Amino acid sequence: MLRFYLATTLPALLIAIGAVLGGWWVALGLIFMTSLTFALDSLVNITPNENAETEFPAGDGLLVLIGTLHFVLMLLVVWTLANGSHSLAANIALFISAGLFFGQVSNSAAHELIHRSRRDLRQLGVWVYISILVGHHTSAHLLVHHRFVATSDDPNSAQLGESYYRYVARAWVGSFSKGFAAETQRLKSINRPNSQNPYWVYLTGGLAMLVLAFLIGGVAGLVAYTGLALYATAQLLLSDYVQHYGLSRTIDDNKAEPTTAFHSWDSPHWFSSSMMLNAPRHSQHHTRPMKPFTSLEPHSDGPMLPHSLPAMATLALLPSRWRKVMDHRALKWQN
Amino acid sequence: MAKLTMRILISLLLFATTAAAQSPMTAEEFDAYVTGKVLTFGSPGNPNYGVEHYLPQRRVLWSAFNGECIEGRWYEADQNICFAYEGTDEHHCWTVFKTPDGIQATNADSGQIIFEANEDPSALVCGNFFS
Repeated sequence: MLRFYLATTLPALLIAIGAVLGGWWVALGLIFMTSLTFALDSLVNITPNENAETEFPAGDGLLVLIGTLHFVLMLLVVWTLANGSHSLAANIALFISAGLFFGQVSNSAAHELIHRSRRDLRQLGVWVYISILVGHHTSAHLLVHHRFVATSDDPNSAQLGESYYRYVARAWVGSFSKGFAAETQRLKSINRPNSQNPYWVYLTGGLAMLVLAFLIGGVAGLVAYTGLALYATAQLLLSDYVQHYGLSRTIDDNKAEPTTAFHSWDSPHWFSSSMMLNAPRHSQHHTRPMKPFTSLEPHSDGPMLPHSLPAMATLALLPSRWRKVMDHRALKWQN
Repeated sequence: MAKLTMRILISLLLFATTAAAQSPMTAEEFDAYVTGKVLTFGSPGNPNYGVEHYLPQRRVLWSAFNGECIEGRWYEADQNICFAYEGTDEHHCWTVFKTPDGIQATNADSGQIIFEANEDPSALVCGNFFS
């Protein structure tokens, strides 16, 4: 459990110090989120496993802590970028390191939170997503992605040969509209009025965030905030892209085969897994979505990414090199 | 580039013809797997979706972890396993698959997907039967 605490709160601390003090502190936060993570993943080869049954309540405390840190950091970084007196280089480094944190750590915590049954925990997850302007991801993930993963009905599953840049627009629009359709259908089936559709909260909440950013830093605050939110969203969609690329469930008689370990790419790298709350142990999340992150295990015989999730996400930004590495691997798992 | 595309196409065609999708559980398979068990279920949005005790003669006892249970029975219809509970006319039909991780079921009407979590007789609490 300690590894999750250290790998998630240390970068938050470094980014916060960097925002306040500027200078080389900002560089430390950036180095942590990029090269240090990469180095620790590559140089140290371990597969840590917690005994989650004894750890009650399975990491919820850390999730609340990260959710809180997320909002503190967002306020601090937007204020600093808009009103601070750091150099341009420091501001760019701060933007990148905070953006990476929101896209990888906050996103992973929000993802865990929306899978919890406790209402307050779920709400925290929803608001983290709203704060990066993708509240709708909650509905799309729970009602669409989990049901249709690795089929063409899931906007967040990438087809073989589909580049990230082609996928990203399709996934954003698709998850927004399919999530809305799924919520509408859900409300209808339980006889509730459409005024209870969470999309109202996602949209008004997002608008409130934009107003808040403007109040904090004027136009500069609005630009910094929108930039950070889009950067985080790009990573959220990138991680879905990498984790299901080119894998598909067989459809027979209009029914997709059940979701198994063969429909997600796992990566065993310990440090990025700690920082991303075991999100790279993705296949088991899809076959047992009710399992908390502390008890997820990597599969041993399913699709495996050749490098860590953040490294593969970076590779995905170069479509031709990505396809060279991934297409022949994905083909092996077709069917 | 064209060569790679060709190879992908050919492989897809080959696999598409040889791949046989797993079919949903039949009544006999479902009966053999569940009868006598108390299984808990989770969904993506709710890890504590519910718990069901599968009794002989295709009878069941369901609880949504709220301390109350309802009795019902199940039957097979159109490749689905359907549940009819006392006190309601609604029938809940699910397409049920057996996976290495247990049962995975998709509701035929709503598309809701649920996953077997544990076999746990102590999870079934039926306060309404004994008060």
